[in-house]
Amino acid sequence: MLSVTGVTGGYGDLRVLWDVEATVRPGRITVVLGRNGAGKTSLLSAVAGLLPTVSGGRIELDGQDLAGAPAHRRVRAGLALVQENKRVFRARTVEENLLLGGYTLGGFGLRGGARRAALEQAYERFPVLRQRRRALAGSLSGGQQQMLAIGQALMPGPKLLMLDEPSAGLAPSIVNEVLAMVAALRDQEGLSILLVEQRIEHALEIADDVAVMENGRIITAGPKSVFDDGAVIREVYLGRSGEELTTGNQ
Amino acid sequence: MTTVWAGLATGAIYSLIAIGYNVVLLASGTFNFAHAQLLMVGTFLAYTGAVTFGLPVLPTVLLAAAGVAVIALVEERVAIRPLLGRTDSHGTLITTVGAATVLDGLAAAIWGRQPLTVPSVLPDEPLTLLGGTVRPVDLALIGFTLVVGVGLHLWSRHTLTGLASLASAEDRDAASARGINVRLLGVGAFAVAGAVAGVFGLLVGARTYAVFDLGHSLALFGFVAIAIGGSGSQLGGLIGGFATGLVYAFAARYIGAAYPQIVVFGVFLLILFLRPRGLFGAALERRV
Amino acid sequence: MNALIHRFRPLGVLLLLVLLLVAPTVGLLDGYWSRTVMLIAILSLLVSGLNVVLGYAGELAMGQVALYAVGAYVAGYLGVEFGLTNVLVALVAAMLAAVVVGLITGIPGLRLGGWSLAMVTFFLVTLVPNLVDVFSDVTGGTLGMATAVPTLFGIEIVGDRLYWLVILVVIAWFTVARNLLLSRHGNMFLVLRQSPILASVLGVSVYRLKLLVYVVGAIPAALAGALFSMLDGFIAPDTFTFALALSVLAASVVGGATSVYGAIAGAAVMQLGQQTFTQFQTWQLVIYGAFLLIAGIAFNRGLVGLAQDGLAAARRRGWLPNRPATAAAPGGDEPVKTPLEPLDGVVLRTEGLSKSFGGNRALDDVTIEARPGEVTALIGPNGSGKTTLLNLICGLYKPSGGRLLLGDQQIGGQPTYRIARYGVARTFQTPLIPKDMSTLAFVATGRYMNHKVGILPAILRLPVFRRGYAADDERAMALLRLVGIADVAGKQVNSLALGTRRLVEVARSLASGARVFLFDEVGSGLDESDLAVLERAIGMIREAGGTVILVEHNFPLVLKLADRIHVLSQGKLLASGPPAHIQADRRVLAEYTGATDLPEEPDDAHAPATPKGAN
Repeated sequence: MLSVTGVTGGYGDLRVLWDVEATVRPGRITVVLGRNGAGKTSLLSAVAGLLPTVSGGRIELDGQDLAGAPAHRRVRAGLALVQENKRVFRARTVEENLLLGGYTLGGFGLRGGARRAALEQAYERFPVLRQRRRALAGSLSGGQQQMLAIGQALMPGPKLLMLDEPSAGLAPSIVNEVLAMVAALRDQEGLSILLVEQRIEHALEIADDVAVMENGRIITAGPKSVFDDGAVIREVYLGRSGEELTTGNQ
Repeated sequence: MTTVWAGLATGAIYSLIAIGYNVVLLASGTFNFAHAQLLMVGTFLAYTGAVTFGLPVLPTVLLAAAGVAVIALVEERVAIRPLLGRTDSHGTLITTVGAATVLDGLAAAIWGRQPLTVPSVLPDEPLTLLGGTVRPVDLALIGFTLVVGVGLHLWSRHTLTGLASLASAEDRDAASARGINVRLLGVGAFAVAGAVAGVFGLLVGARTYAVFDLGHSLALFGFVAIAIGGSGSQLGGLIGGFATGLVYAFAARYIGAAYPQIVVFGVFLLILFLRPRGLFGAALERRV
Repeated sequence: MNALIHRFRPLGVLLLLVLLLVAPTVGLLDGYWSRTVMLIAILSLLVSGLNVVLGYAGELAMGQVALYAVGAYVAGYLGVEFGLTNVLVALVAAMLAAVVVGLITGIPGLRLGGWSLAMVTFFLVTLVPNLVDVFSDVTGGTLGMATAVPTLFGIEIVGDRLYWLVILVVIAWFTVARNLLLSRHGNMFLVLRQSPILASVLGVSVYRLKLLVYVVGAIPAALAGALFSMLDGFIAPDTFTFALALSVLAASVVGGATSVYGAIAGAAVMQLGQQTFTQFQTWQLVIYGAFLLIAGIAFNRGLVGLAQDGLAAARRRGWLPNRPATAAAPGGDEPVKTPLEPLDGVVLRTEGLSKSFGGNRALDDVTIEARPGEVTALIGPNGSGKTTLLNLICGLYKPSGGRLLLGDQQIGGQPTYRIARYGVARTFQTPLIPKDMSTLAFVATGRYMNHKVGILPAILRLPVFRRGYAADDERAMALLRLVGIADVAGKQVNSLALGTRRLVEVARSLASGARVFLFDEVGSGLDESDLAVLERAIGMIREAGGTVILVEHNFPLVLKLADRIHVLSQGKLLASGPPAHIQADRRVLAEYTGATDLPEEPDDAHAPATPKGAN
């Protein structure tokens, strides 16, 4: 499905990714874990074609190398990215945002052809968006904005969905809802998913494979079953000393 | 009322410049200082088509539109694209002024420094309308400018490409993550802005003559129009241009021939001082 | 050999200048060439003024020509109308007029940034003929005016004497420009151009500093105008054309806008080109435009930049002697032991602080208190509002509700630079690091708001300037040692790795002698040894009595350092307490890891018997 090999990159003279290897297998969810600043967002940006400088390496989607392709062509190839911070077009309405999500779909007219069908599907998936279709995206609540962002990314019917911290800033009840939906996308639609998520336990509940990043490198990766829930992961987030500190009180 | 018509006709030209600025600004995030020079070249091409080649109206307009669009594309390639992705922001400040200057110089070298009379395509007898007189060609200028301004406004809100342009103006990265070819959009904007400037070459030239340094004052007044209307707003630019033209015409009529520029300058300073985001612009809080 | 060259460099420069001054007298320059030198000198004044504005404030000012006209007409008018032919009076009057015009155009023109100033000043140039016409009684209208013969204390300033005057004024201006730009102020201008946000966090009002730079840049243009009126003896509006404005701009970018002496190189290229090639007139505009395009795209540091790169390359290859290492950092090899001077920490309190963006409530009714001599940590998942809270505290955002108190003073909603001056320093998640500056100089910019050396002492290089400079450098060096990176003091700050950049930011924030420190994710991207240094530095700030607010994801680090932890979640305060308390709070763990199977515990069940990690 997706295979990233030997990707190095960063922002201008600052390097943030070092020789990164990662894979997503068809119909499975790979969760990327790691501390803030470990390079998770940069990894997604590199795959999506948004990292300013990428030197070397291959980014293959279904065998097609996308490493040199501009971001918009990667969308046509079937990649979809939901950026962190619910990054929707805040000055545009909900419906306009969704239509823009379907930018790569063919068809005549703004609401024509495949775009109409995809819009209908998005509204079925997120009925609240239909109710607020004429509202400016910036006026939505955080949870609604996140739904809009995901709905937007799904409009073109991607092969691989990448989500960057979809739970950030959301209430716990909504977090469960969002992650349950991510799982449903895999289970019902067979979508392959690359998920960056900081709520480890939530993320692990739906994960099939896990990759752990530190200082711009993937330090360990494999099927979830390989990981003893907790130990490795706790180490990543809390550090070696953190392990000992958190167990100290229990 | 004759003064009003004169003001609106001059204002239409300023509106056209403001519209051209906005088209490029929205799609590529660049302020194309040289846009007024594109209109200047349009008037010369209209002269070449209508006088030198003796072409009828439609081929003349097409020639000017195609010619200026090509020049705009060359400008984008030479002056804008090499700077994309640079962090230092004042690069295009220099290169678009450079492009404008090259166009000025080439026009002077090719067509000379003397103003050339671009023939009016419509009868020259002034019409009496709403108590004032106005030349038909000026009326056409006002009308077509309104159509283009309003048309572009509607286009940007009701077509996919228009929406994509607004979206990429708001957040370029997010736009490319949705599959929008942001760079192509920017190039297209230059072509469209150039073509519009070319189309109007004939009508504008009939009012101003074709002269190599036409761009200077037009650039300024077009910018005043943007300052009044708020940058990025097509309707704002349209209104701002007409308002500037009216101020100019009334100052010339009632204060004296040396004053209209000074009065417009005063209005410009006042607006920058009191409403720096334009009369129609909303104050946006930057997000860090 | 090396040392010899450097010891005698000032002497060599002096000799060259003397040679330049006496050149016409001893017959080295004939009339044509001495006039050419004067024209280049005058043009270089115009260009230098633009360089200050464009290269250091990052604003395009096309109005040099209008100020040139102002200088010329003011000097001419004084001579013709009042018989004030004294050149000193003329020069001073021209400068004053430039300041007035600079303020009138700069105050509105700089409000918005970007193209506004360019357009305002451009407009000013096109207004020159109109204004000359409107005030034709004073200016002689389009016909022009003949000026009186300039004098100095009764001596007529003509011929060689005028040549000396021009050269001396130009030397004086370039001395001023050099001394101003190669000082803390010049460094701050560079910061300002590259990151207005950083400048405001350093306590600088971006608007006022830009206005200052712009007005300073107006002065040489007016001086040039006054000199030109003396040289030509006649002033007419057709001198002050838009083409001249473009040639000034072209000269600026050709010479290199961010250099002091590039103006002279650029002016020489333009002036000589114009005089030498007869074809120049026809193709003048095309040539200027091409210069702008090429310089803007290919070598944006101009001829001077090219020369510097060339020299650097030659030195690397050993073709040229190396510069002697800049005086080794004072005591650079001493062991790292720099106790921090006491800091005047102060209580920072938020009361019901809120912030909304559109429909999104990023921060909702948060009340916290950070005390001096303590480390207050803010933790919480991404998007929980931590950085929003920091941005509110340092004034980058305006609160939507609630109060923000520094001591007893309400500071919420005040501009960033003012809050910085109250003593609030911060670092950034993505460190803001300028180009073209050494690490030491960058850390010293942290002291800008308490930098005691004003602009005038810097220009005059008074002893107080040297003392202030040395004190700043010493302090900056001490702080670099404190954070364990004294070895990079002389390196370009933008060449450093991410971890080092964070430590540089910590040193920079300490340099201000702030009372409250806001550290945003300062530990992320640091390796173990850097983390140890960071811990120690923060520990020292606490001991010195500073108020520290730490936003951090590294939980062990927080547990080690914090005296009090506030947990944010979706913009609300979820829990507050000492580390042990927070550590035992299952809701916090749930918030962090997403665990939902943990039973909710009553709030008072937390005090563990042996608090570990606290203190």
